[in-house]
Amino acid sequence: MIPQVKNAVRRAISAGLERSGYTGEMNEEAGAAVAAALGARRHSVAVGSSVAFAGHQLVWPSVGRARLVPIEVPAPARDEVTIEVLASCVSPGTERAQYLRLPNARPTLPFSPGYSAAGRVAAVGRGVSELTPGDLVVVPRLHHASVATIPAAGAIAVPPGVPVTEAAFVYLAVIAGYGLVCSELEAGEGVCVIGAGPIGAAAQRLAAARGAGTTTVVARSTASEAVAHAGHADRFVFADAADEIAEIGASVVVDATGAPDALATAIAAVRTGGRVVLLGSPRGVTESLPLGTIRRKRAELVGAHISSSVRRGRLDGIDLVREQSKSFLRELADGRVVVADLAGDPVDPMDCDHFYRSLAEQARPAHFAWSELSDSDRLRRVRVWRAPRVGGRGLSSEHNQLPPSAELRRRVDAELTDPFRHASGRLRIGLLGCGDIGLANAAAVTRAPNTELAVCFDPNEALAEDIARTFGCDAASSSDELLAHPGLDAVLIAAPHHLHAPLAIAAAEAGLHVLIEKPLANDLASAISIAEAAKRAGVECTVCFPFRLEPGVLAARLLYEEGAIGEFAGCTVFYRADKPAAYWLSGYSNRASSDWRRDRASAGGGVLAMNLPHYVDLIRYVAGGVEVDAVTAMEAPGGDEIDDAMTVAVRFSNGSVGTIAGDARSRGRVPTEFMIGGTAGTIVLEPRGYVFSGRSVAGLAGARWHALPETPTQDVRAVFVSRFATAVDHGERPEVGIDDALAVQAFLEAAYESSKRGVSVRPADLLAAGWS
Amino acid sequence: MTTAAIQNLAAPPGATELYVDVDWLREAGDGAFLYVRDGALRASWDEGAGIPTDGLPAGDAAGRFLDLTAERAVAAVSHVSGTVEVVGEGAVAQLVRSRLPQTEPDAGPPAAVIECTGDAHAIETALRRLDDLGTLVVAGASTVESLRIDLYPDVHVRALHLVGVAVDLGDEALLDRTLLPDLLLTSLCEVGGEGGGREGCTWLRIRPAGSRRQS
Repeated sequence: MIPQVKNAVRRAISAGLERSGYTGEMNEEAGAAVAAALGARRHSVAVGSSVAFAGHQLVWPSVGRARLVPIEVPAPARDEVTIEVLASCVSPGTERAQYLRLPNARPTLPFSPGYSAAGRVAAVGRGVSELTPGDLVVVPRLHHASVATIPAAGAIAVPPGVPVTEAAFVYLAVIAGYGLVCSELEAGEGVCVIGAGPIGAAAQRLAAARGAGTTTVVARSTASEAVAHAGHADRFVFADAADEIAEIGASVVVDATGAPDALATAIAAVRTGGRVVLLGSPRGVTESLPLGTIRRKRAELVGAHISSSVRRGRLDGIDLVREQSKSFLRELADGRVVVADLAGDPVDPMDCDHFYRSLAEQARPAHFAWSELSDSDRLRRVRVWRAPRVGGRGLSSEHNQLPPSAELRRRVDAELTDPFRHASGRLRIGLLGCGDIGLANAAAVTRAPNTELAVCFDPNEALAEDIARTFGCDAASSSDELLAHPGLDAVLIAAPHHLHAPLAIAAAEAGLHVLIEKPLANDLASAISIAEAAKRAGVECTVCFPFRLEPGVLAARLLYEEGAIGEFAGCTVFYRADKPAAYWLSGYSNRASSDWRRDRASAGGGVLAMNLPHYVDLIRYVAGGVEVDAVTAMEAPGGDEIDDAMTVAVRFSNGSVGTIAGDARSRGRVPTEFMIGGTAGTIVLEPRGYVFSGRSVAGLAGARWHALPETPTQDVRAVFVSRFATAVDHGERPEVGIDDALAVQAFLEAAYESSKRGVSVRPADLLAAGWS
Repeated sequence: MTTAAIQNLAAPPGATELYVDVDWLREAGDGAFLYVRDGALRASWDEGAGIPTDGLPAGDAAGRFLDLTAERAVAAVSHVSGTVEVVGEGAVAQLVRSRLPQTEPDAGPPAAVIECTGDAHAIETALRRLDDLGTLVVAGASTVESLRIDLYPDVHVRALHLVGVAVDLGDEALLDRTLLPDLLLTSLCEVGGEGGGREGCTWLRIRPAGSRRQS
């Protein structure tokens, strides 16, 4: 294709993608996928085929990121084969170095890492006679990908009985074997290997299999010692045992560490006149190459980078990689070499981002198990005239996220479909407080199948009569009268915050269960007195945190529990509202005139006490087991006035930190933001629910943004009161226990205390001090 | 060879003679040398006892040391087919040259380099000059015990060989009484501790100032 046409096609594709909401990285990935598909199809057509092969490949698009992208490869031409990869081997030392961009390991990005693979022949081109479709083969040099079309000479048949994952280790074994070739090892010579990573361990095992005398492994850890024993090394020496190392006196020492300073150990371990093979690529400058010792020992230092095998092989007229591959496969088949432990753990290619991040922390043997992908994701025949699959979705949290996986949707839906199906008992409830939130709660109690609104009370008789009329319940003339209402089981308190404690205590003492609109009380002392009263009376007490039951939150909790975002690593909450001046006198609806909201003693606080308790509860709920350890807070305007804006810096029990902030004066309807971060991913719950996971959990594609299930059709408040009624009926702990309510209240108290005193405060200390 | 390099050599207490390949001299005076003390030939880089010369002139043992070094350096490249380059102008370098087969110099990079100076910079540049899979023989006595070097681009990737060559002062071959090669006999220069020397010197016998003893 002439360049002008090529560029015009690319521009057209790019413009089309931008119109579809693709930007930046998404556009790049999609453009690359389309270009690769067109290229593969052009080659297919050129060899007379109407199909190409689609699959996936692992790519590092930029520093520190790994991703699985769609690829297409052409049908095999003459003397070519197409391979369906089942396993590809990770070289942990080198790939870690490349991922971290250590010295001498800085590939140009985007980069496709990989070493070797094993799989099945999917198709063969003309002229290929040694391989047929279905044959199990290894490819000693291949990127991590599920499909590849390569010269047939690059694929080597796997002998019967050799497991795929061990066969995939082939190129690491070739590297190790090449080190031995460079050492010119003779039968009976003692070999010492420095390092017990996969290549080092393979070098020791191959040396033993190829006639070496005593084999010794020098390494740092007890884990390495276990690897050495598994390979039947004659001796293991810890790398810091200088005297023991000096006594090794091996004819051949293989430095497989890649650590620039390990060479001194290797030189120390070699006998006079011996050879030291530099097999691991040094990741930096060797500060002190012991030249004097090399001279005195008349030692020979031999470089053995695998890339030099081509020229070395040419001198001898052989393909060293192919020869070494065949030798290794024979040794595997004969049981003379075992590498099952060196092939490491299987990794789902979808988990590649998470895998490389963990590899950066610690190198460990592993292989990508392409068999984990669905058949169609691994290898699919595509007709050349069909539109190619465009990648790029899910790379941004803002545009073109992937939809929730079918599995995630199914599991969340299982919770939401008929949310009342487990409802039992019948809880007769009295409503204390008939303002805005009282009205909402009355509706919820009425809609739940196992609760009944029996009676209501409000000092403003008109409000109580309105509720009674609307929902068909009685209206009491006082709270005492309500508590004495015949047949009453529980009260739901939706009153100004300072009234929560006296009303709840009176209800508990009357033997009634208690539901309280958040927060539990206007201060921690009052909250504790409620908890104590409930305990004394033997009644259940809960605080209304119904947002736990929203689909996005349920999905978030499920994903967190299954490790989608790894360890909890903090959170950010920026709650924003534009509360008009009238709100402080009569709420949003103007249903009930009262200025209790702007009085610190009555309300307990402003935006923090009114709005942020839900977020504190949701953090604790989603990241179960994580508690607030300490807070440092500042508020505005401060002093005796209630807080319009509050910022709380939080340290959590696992050492992570977060910010929980609220602003009731946020002009212009700026959306609230709520995010929970983890070591392997991120969950965004507001303004809309998204999840990014480095791992493939619950059917999600790894390292992609997915939308969480949408906002409920169900009435979460009704479900909440129904579940409370069911818990009471079964004599079980309610969805939100009094301990949950107290934890949130202690957080509020600690934040206000911190703001007032200008110091960091631990909620647990306040809670412990408050209990009688 | 400069007068300063000779003057700056710090002779050990009691040393009666110093023997130096001119490639070992360093302006700063930290060059390597052989020396005679208490009837034994010793080396500045080795704190061992040295080898008693047993009536053999110390200069003969020192010359034998240089000759053996050259012999082993040449043996280290016996497998090499291609150009062998020799770095240095001293006795060892000249002995090496005399032992290597005469070949037409190749236009390409050398297959082997025999480095006779022991100088760190010379070693590094020799590594860079070598052809892939080439061999560097480190044959120069030196006080450089260690080298700061990135082994990746040359030694590792290009699969170079770095071979150490040394003669142990306990080696009985040093007392071989056969005649030294002419090249050694004719290129030894006698200089005082104050410096001096003439053109064509490849190795030196230096008598430290104040020493009245003769070998």
